[in-house]
Amino acid sequence: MQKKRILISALLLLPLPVLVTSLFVGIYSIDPFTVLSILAKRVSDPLGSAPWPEVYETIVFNIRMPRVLLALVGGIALSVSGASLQGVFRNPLVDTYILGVSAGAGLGAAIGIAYFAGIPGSVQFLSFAMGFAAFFTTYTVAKSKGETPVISLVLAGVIVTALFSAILSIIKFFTESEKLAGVVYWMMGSLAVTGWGPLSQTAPLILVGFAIVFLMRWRINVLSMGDEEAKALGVNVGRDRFVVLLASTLMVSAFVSVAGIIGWIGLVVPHTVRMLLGTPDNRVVVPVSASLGAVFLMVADDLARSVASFELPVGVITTLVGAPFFLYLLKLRGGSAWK
Amino acid sequence: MITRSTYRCFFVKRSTKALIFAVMAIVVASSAGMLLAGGYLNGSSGVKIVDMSGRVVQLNSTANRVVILESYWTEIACALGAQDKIVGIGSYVTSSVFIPDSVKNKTVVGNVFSGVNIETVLSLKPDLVIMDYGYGKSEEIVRALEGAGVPVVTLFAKNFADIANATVIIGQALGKQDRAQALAGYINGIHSQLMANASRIPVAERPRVLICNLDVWKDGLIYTYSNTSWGNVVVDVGGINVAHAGFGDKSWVKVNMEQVLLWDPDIIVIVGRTQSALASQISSMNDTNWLSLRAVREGKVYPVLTGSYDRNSYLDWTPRMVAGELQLASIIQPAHFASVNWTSVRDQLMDGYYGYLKS
Amino acid sequence: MEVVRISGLELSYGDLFSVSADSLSVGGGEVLTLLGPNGSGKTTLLKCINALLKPSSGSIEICGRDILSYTRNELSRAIGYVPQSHTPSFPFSVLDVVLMGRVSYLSIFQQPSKADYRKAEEALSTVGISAMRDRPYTNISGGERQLVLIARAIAQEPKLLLLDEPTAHLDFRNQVTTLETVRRLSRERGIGVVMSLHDPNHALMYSDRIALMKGGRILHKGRPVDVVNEGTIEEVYGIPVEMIDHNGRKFILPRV
Repeated sequence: MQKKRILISALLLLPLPVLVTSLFVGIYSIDPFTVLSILAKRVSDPLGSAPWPEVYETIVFNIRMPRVLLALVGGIALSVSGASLQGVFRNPLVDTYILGVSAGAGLGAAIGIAYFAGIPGSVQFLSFAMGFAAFFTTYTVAKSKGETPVISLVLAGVIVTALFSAILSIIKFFTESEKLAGVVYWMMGSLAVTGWGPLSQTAPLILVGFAIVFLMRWRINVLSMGDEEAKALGVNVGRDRFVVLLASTLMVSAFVSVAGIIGWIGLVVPHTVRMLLGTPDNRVVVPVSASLGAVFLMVADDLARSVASFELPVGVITTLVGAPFFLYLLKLRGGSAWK
Repeated sequence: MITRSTYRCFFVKRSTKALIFAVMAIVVASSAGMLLAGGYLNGSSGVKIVDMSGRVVQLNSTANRVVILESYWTEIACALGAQDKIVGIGSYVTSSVFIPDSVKNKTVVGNVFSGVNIETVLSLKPDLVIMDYGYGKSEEIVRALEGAGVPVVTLFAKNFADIANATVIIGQALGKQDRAQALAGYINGIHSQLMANASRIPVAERPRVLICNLDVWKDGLIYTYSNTSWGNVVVDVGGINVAHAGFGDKSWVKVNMEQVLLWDPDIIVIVGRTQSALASQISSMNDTNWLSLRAVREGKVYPVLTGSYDRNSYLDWTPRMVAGELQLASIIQPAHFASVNWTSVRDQLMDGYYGYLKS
Repeated sequence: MEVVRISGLELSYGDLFSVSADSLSVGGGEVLTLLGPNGSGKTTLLKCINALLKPSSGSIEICGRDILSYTRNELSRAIGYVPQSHTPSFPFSVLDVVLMGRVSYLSIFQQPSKADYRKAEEALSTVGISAMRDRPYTNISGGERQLVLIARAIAQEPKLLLLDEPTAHLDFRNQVTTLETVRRLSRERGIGVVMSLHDPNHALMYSDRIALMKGGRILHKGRPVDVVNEGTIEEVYGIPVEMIDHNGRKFILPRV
């Protein structure tokens, strides 16, 4: 029990050292001590003169820091969403995008790229809005007689994903090849050339969504026992489930609208946490998933921007790491990864 | 004894004065800093460029270390003799055959679609970045680079005039103004003469031309150029673009065989980026549908290379376009342009401005 | 004090099946058994009492109030529902499962407090399974799981306990301990109990009153000795039986 507690505390604190070491990583080599001095000086003596070139500070504060922070909140968004959806749907194979958010966001981005290319922020706004639209469509389709049973939500999610993907295909068909490349790359998921702007737009939304799921983490335990049981125990299943799904969609849409579609984190991280901690109790699984998700994405992005001189799409890295790892988990645990 | 009022008179007055002094000092210092950074105190040694998106870019002097993201601007820089100034390139520059190896070996920094590694660019310590604008992540890249103090010149070519314009701007930026003016003047001269001659051709003598690509999407449809690039060149050199009737407002349109039969063009121009792409298109025209077209039966099907994957490509958004236009002119109006040997213009260009390819 | 009062209840599943219960009531500390073969409507009736199903006519009063006036939350503080022991999905600990019984006392963003933990531990000890508190719910026997679900229902601090076939899937020993526990809880805490059973002898041993059901109707209701006899059992179950008396205790045996 003590060991468990130590493990949990360590995992919860892990993002901090990873954040700092991520600031050491980058093609422009600045040695770690200098980075630390730069950080210290900004706190203690911001306006004074410095023994290092100004470009160092630009790199640390304008290029690396917002990007690492975006990876941090993005990791939280994707993994917490995955964990909460897996609890609410009572299924370990549920992925962050099961309600159609990725298809919606992709369609929104394609519309922005194809038809509103000149307007700044159009891609981001449209992908955020369409991600939500996809969720609401799924929810409405699944509703019957005032209830939204889990199986209906899953099926509706499949239908909505297919529908939005079909519309996306039509748009691609009518788009010139140059613009089309933009859509393809957008969907691959990348944190390249982001900055304080995108971070300040998405971080508050992600943190609000996270706060909601965090406060409901015990309630998700009860929901995971099944609709009828939860109802008999006194839970307003429809309302509570909707709140969790809404918070999850908020986090994911906000992040996807600036970073594209980065997969596997929502699937792999909560699983790993449940295995490591040996419990499905969301009171620890949710916060530890947030932590581990942040670490995973920060490390993946560190690789994406330092392995080659150009940018690798981070979505490709998370899949290359996530998919084999998931395969390994599946082999190890057989079909039931819960136990 | 220090009373409250003494404290107020003495300390507060003193500290207020100190505060005012400090504020003034900060204002003066930052103003000086801004003036210095803005180059206003530098005087007239700067270079002022208005790029193709209308941005005014102020450089301290012509650039000696430049990062260029697209192959066409890189090609122009080489044609101007500035290849030694290139320190970094975009992802797709390496696939152009009109760029010398010495440039292709430079550090790859990314591209406008999937993003640019800003740190890589900064580590190359460039004075300037030249890139496309208006699509992909161009906005974010420009913002990030300028935020880091790197000037950016953005360009975009939609027609022939843009190519000459871009050449002049690149010349200004890289300190090759004279050569740029010469090249621009050379291609403009040939181009305007071609346009003038072509405009005198009466409508009755203009053939109906279909310019298309058969395997862009591999879905059996014919990707036809209408109100865009090569589609308009066809008209400029004295032809009629069959797609302009009915699809004149579209850049391109995908049509099926029925539409082509309806059009019944006099001449078919097939475009592609590689010889094999052209060959496969030609062989796909061996079926009965195509053979029922008059143009095919009469042998009036002409493959033309575009882009920069093959040394024989001349239709592209670079100075080579002038040879490409002449190439199309000789296909579409062989009688009127019999005296103009497009291959000699091509050779002039290749031996002259593109001579760097021979070394 | 009357915990449940049902009058004129009717519920139909289209033309296929209907359940009716004219007047039925249970008081605190009293155990009412719904006895009958499979398909007699016992589960449907239980679900109506728990508002999981809505009857087409009639009224149900819980602790003197119409059931429709209760919110889900309030109802779960009055009624503890023990479903048939099912194969669980997740390895929550036994204590965590019982703790979930406290959810109706907590708002949407609240976490269980120390007081909630205490009530959960109390429920465990009342049912007699404190030793199992840290074991994974997935790793215990069917009978033990049934006891855990009873403890969870107790943690709701209900006035009424509903149990749906609590002896199904249990072995002989577990059947006895479960039913013993239920009766003891009812007596000790003054909780009303409505449970459905299929075995007439269990009903005889552990009920204060019995409602004998067939085809969705209550055919007989009253004290066990009045309701259960050869005639009524044969009527409901359709097999010949005989009743024997041993030391004052009555048993129903199939006629061989």
